[in-house]
Amino acid sequence: MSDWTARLEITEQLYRYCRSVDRLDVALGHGVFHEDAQVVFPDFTGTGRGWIDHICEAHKAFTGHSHQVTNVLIAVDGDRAGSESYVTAVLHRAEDGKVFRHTFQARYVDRWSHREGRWAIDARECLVDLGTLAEVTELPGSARSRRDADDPSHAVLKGL
Amino acid sequence: MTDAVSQLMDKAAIRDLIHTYCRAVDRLDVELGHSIWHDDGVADYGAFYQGPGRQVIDAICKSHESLDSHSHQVTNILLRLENTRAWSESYVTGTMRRTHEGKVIQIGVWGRYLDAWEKQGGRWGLVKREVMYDHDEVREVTPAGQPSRATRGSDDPSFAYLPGAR
Repeated sequence: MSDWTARLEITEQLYRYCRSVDRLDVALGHGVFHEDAQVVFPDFTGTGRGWIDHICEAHKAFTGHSHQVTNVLIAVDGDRAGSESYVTAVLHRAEDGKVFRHTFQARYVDRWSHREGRWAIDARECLVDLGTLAEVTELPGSARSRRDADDPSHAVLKGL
Repeated sequence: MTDAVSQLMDKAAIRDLIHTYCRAVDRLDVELGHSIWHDDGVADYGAFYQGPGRQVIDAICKSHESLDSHSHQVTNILLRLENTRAWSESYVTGTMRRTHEGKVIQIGVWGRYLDAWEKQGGRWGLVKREVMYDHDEVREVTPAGQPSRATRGSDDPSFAYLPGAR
């Protein structure tokens, strides 16, 4: 039964990571990683929290982005766990009056541990399976969708 | 254990199998793919395949060998449970890439897996899968060129992160 609690908590952390990098919420992202966690991304190797700082800054070069986690497989072993989660990331960037879309089908492979009452990542590697770049025509998005504390989600997710 | 908790665990076990299927066909892990089926399982993949369940895994993994890379991502999973039987609908987005005459061609498929499940000898497994193809596209793409250690074999780094799940 405790395995199922662990799996639920780990799955929520996976979603929090996406929320953090999409809403540029650095503090939320830091909470997904233990302080000594290490990550390997295609253009970045370093600490988990350092990655959150880096990616939230780098995302400002984009006009909008969405990270969606789908398949989640988790193996729990006591206070440790391993997981593979699939993600589709779509990012839009404006350049010279054109809009470019970056799309990635990737996987996060993670090692977790339960310390001081919470599950967090010890090690993450991001494996990109496919990535494309395309010029696109944008449809009008929602005017109230924001990447800061003004986004309406903050009102419904108090205490997250 | 209450009935409610036991039902949640049954549903979680089936969701795991749906995701395990994706991992099997993306990592070309035929043995892992076989493990989600019961012996008498039947697969109906339309024009692609009709026949014994386990062998559809062999057919898919063989067909994937002609591709450069692919990703099968399942979203909305709806499950109906009745004791030791269950039925599910799960949405899938399949993205597949191949190189043809120097061009990079990407295929997108939006479909649904309609599944019938049974718990036999304490283990949930697939007894029937029918795939609905809702729409698809084929187009030439520009790769984003992100370097990564992803592979489709047992040297993919995920194997080191998922010891218990292969």
